[in-house]
Amino acid sequence: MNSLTVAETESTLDKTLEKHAPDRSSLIAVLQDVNEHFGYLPEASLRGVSDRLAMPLSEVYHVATFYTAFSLKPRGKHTVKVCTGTACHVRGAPRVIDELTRQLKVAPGETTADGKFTLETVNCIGCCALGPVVVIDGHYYQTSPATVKELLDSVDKEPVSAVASDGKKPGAEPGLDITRLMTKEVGIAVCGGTGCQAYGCEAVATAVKNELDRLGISAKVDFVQCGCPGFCERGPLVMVRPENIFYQKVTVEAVPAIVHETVVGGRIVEEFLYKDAATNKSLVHEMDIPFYSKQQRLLLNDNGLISPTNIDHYLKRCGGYEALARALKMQPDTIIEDMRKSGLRGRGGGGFITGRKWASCRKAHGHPKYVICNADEGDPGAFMDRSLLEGNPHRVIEGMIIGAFAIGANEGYVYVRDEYPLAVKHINIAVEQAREKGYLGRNILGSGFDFDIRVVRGGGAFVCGESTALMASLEGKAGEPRAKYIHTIESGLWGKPSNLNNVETWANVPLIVMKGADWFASIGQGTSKGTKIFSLVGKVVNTGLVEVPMGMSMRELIFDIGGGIPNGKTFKAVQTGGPSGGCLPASKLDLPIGFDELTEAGVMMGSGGLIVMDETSCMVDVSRYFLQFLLNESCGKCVPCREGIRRMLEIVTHICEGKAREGDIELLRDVAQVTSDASLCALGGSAANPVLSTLRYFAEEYRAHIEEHRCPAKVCKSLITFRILPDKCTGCTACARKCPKNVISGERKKVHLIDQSGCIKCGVCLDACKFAAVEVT
Amino acid sequence: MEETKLISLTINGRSVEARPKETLLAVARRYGFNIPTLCDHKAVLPYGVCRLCVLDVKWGKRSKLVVSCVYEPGEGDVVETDSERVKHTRRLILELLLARCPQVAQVRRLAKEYGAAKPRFSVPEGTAIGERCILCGLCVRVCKEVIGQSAIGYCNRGGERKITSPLGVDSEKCIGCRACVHVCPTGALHFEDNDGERVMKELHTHLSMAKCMVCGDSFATQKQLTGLKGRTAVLIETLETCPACRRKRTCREMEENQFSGKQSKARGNSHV
Repeated sequence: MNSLTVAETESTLDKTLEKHAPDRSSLIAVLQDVNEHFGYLPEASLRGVSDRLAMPLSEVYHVATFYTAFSLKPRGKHTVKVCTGTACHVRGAPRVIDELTRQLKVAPGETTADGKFTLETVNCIGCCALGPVVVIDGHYYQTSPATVKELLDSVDKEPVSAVASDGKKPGAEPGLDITRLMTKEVGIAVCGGTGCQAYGCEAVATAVKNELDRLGISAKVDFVQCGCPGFCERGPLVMVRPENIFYQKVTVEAVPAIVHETVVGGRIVEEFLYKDAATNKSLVHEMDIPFYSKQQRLLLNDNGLISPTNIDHYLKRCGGYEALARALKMQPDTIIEDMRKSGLRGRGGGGFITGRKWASCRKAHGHPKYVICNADEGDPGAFMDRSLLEGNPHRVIEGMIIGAFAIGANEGYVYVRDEYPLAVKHINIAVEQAREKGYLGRNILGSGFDFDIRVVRGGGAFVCGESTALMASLEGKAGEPRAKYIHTIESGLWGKPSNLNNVETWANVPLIVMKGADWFASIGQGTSKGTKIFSLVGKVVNTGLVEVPMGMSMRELIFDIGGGIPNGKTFKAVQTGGPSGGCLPASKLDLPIGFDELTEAGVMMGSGGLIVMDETSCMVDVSRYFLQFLLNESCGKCVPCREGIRRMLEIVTHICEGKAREGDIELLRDVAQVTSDASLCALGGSAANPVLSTLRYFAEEYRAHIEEHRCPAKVCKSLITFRILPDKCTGCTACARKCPKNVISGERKKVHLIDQSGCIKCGVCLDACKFAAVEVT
Repeated sequence: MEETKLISLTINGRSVEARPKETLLAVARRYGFNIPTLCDHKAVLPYGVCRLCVLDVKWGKRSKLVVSCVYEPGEGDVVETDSERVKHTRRLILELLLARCPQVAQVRRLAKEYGAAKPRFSVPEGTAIGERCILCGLCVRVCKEVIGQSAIGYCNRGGERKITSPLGVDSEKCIGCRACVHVCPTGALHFEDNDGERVMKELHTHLSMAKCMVCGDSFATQKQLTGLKGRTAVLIETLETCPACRRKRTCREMEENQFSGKQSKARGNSHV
């Protein structure tokens, strides 16, 4: 690790500051640039920032230590980040972390002695349909404990060439029949979403582009790297138009055949079609696949049609900015009334009636007014907003301009969480393009209305999804919420009236303007109108993003669209609403999905993350997981949240370790009550939900842990035993060789034995055994 | 004359009136109700973090706990200062604080009053048992709002949150005025004056002391005097004289002037 001179730091700082406004609101952006340049924040940079932005060093230091994006210690050459989101957790992230810790010999947060690797955990990077996911130097990989070593070894090596070069010169192959290309509008879309990236879609996209170039047909084929179409489990996804032929799990090697046969020839390559597990039939078209056929993809459909960084696609293929043109000719009060009539409720978790919020903000006193897009999507297991922002950023922008016009705001912000670099990139490009075409800036479409948007990146803090914390962050402070006796609608960003809405909420706005409030209100059920995008992840066959009308039953969503539980296991619970929500058991599967229905059942809609669990998930462990998450993410300001969550975590951890004491459940409920009643914000206010909902529906599991010291799901390490079955063991020594603690003894061809006193319950032997001779009890 | 519209509400059944912008805590205390607080101090703005000042407020059928130091009452609020919910909340908060800082007498006293003398949580291990800071933030706020130095601040987030000098090293902005020590409700901050040097212990800061130009005693830090020289119209001789010697000088002058009929010149106040 180099020791930086103060001069080096100062000169980097000077260069950074040229790009930002010279006041404290730029603090986080400046620190991010410095952090990216050096890999960390040198002490001199903090002092330098404090001087140049005229801010006390104590406040700069608070911000630098508050957000997880920043490190005050130098990082290694490569940063290995393991996602600890709920879906990844349920699919085995803890074991990946254990394996990484063993391989690198450092704990998360530390750097290896040779300075090569820094190991970190990250609270959800939004690849929830896959998992466990590891990000190394910005590249996404799906992993398992078995692939960790290979992954680490491959860092620093030359990537294998994505396209097999065969020395052929570019130019239309003689004899290639391109009639189809001349008579139809042929297109090929390769999903470029972050999820597919972990499956290697970049290489597939490059291969497609190269093949089109090599055949000399690029000009005749519309090739896009499109936004996420949602079926992340099956990535890389490739779709060919105009037939909408849907290919899944496409490999680089298959690309020449797909281009040749399907793009050019209109013929199907069977191997890559989706095969329905139930009927064993291959399905050709996207809309025939059960995953898609039951959805109503009002928001997501366009993702597959466009390149998100091409505004012309949005304009020509999605009727882009027509809603804006129409809205600018309407009366602001009429637009607001339409929003109210449509019944649109906030999609970020609050579920507040959007039209009512806009009306209040329009009436509020103060100038300027602000509209804000909350793209901080922090719920682990949720990635709807990521896909919307990455895949169709103009839709969101259009919604914001309409909202700003209705409310009377001339300035807007999009606050994107730090962990979504591709979304940040795409929204920035989209804002630039919108400005160039006159949809942002002065006198939009000749209406006399001025409006512009600033994109701001978060610093890595779940609490910044809370509206007042988000606004504090925009102001360059630590993301600490404040009391909401006076609403942000009246006094928000810089004390001015501010209207904050979620990404998906904004995305619905142009639809409502074009198709009308009555149309929107006709979809859905009860007080939950329209469609909702859900992130269906965890232990379910078809993981990905699904968009369905409100009111669909949980059962239909998980079993008909999701394809049920894989590997012959049984449904146990579905977790909704992120860390503010709870777990629903099988008995509640027929619940219609709606705001009020889910709240009544003790869970909540939240932003739309649905993590499905089978019998291999321990519900006590799940509540422990959420409490740990919240203790890390809490801002720490108020006593009920910080100390309350700390103690609830302690109690639940004791239960998981078989150390529960008399009265622990009653104590847990006591603390839960105060944390819910007296916390400053909704993070603390809803922190008890996972615990309370699992106590409500899975009391038996708690009882087994407390009274019998038994973990029925065989997850809690202190309560399980790994044993080798003498009648199954062949003495192959595979387990003994892999055991990280060397506690398995036995000669070749003789029954092996695990020494319980040294066993750390890592599960490596279970994975290694090919004879099902390792039993967990 | 400007009309000040008062807000009518009841507290424990008694009709009271709040001034505009007055917090519920201020109103309640003005009428003699006893509300416990740990993070409240008249010198600084309310912060609302200890949550001890919670009160029950009813509007029609709905009721909820409000944090009275930051809540401004509305017309018709029906307030209870000692409902079961309020008492339960205070008890648990004090239980949590006592479990965090078992050796702090001030917390123990309040906890006992609310029935939380024996926390049901595990006691901290090792040196953590001596923790005195309850993160009320009074030190940070007084240094920022009153002294204007922001020499002390917060660090980290969530369960790791703590109060420290920036970067955990000596604080350049600290002038050693000890306002933080003075406002701390639990005695978590300490200073020591030794041999012409003041050490602000938890701030890792050493400051040299100024000597009185009359008697030679150390009475304030150099930085305090330097800071004041720029900020007030007080004569430099007065600033560089310790409070005891200033009092002696003032008395002498008063005696002299009493007989000569002259007015004594303004010498500034006697506290730094």
